[in-house]
Amino acid sequence: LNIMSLMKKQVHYPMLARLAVGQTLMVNQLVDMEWKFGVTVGTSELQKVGNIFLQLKLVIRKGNSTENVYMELTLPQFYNFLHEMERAKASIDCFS
Amino acid sequence: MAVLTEEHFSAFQMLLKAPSKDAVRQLCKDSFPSGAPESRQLIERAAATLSVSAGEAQRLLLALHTLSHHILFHSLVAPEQILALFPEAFHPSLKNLLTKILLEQSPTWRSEALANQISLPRLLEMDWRVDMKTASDSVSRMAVPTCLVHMKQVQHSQATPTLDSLSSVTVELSRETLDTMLDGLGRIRDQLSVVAGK
Repeated sequence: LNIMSLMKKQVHYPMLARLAVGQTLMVNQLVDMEWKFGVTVGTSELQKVGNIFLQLKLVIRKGNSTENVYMELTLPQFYNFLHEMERAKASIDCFS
Repeated sequence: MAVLTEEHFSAFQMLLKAPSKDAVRQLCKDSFPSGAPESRQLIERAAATLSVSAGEAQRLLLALHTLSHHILFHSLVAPEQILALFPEAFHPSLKNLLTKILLEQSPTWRSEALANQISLPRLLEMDWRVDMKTASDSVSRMAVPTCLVHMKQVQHSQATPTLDSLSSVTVELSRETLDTMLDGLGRIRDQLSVVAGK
């Protein structure tokens, strides 16, 4: 009987630990990301344009509700963003 | 968008009274921004430079504004295209001077127009930091890495061009979220290279 209860503790402990960590405070947690990109064809100032734009929508959890943050990036900004996020991932991977 | 008329071209005659070619160039540059033909300061300055009444100066600024925006909208880049806009009997050296100045300024104006077009708030700056969570009220000892990303955005306002509104947001991502985000960004990059390849 002692061995059985020991095994039960070993099976459940990692899961319990993960649940507890999952409940740890996160500030402005990123919940979802949506995106679209397209081409600007014309504006009121310029009849013919051909700029690629990228639009991101970030869904952020603030307390009990979520907030949407919209922004637009140019292509160079997008590549820079991607590069920085890859660096962040490399940094976070050092700790696993 | 106002249409170019005979009246606009007759207003340009006032430029013949300008003290120098640079004065004409300055007037062209100053009259370009939206709202310029209504600016009291600008009207007074133009009236003083050309020794004309305020009403006349405003007519001129409006005419220059209409001409420069017409050229920008239709992307007129060849001198012949701009020269063709002027009426037959127009003063030839003034016509050439204006064409030269407008062609010079067009690339700057075009990039300004592109930078100021309506859009969602634009990303200005982005910083990130990786932290290590070591304790919390639910777990006294842990080693969980987390990523914080801070983004600054700017929203250009057409109504008040000098007051761009800045906003910023800081977002926390767990390792899994960061991985998922990178997946999404990678997909965007792949789609962009497909589009670029076409």
